[in-house]
Amino acid sequence: MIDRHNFWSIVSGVFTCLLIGKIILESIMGYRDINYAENILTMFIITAAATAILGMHKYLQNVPILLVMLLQYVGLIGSVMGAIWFLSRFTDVAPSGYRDMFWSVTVPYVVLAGVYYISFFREVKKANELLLEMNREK
Amino acid sequence: MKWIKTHEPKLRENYLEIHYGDLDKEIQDMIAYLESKNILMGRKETESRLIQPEEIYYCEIVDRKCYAYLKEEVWQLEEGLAKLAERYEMHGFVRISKSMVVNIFKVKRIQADFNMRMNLVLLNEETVVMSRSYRNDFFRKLKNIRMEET
Repeated sequence: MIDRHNFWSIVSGVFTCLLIGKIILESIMGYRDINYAENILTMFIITAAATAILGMHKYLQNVPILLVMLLQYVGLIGSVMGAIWFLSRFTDVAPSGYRDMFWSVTVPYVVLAGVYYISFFREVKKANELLLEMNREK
Repeated sequence: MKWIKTHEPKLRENYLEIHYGDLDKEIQDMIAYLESKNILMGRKETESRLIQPEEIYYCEIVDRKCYAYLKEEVWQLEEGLAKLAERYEMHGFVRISKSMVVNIFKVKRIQADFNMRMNLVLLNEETVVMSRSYRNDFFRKLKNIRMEET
């Protein structure tokens, strides 16, 4: 559960993982990022925004989860596009920049949302098995 | 302290009544002893009864009052939900929402819909809704209970 006490530690952890992933991927593919500083800054802004948006989960307890996921996605993609637009004021953005970021956010989001959704129903199934065993023994 | 023991063959339920002028040490010790037996006092308008935690299906706060729901009865309790969840944890009490504590031993099954809303179907076929933020605590408690039992 994300709250104001663990917010920055989560952002730092996720950002470190992303950064290490970026370095490993670049060294494997032999790619040299010419906009290193801007991209790292963008990554940090996106990580902080994504963590803040996901942390709103607990304030939306009475809202259906699919709507929450959709709202969080809209918030996240909006923040990302906003961040790119903001950076484009100071630096050049590749013509495919917006499209690339759209896929970079959408694909992991959909995959993680799917994993979360499936793990939820697996957890319920497991809990029902435990309850059945418990009630059978009574 | 004087005490009277009365045998009433037609009495439907045993009860203990304490009369005191001053809440002295002796009375306090006796109340502490009764409370240590983990018995709850349920009240209705004109009547009251002792409730074993095992009888309770769930407790709910309604209009700032705490109610214990038994198989077919509802009694008002003096304790708050936080105290109930903490004190009767060993009896299977676990928080499932801001206003509800359920006895895990009275849960028959969990129903989850596509919207990931979780309903707990109790042994008396009553259904209560579990809040998402208490889901992990519930699952953890269930696993712990099963591990202790096996």
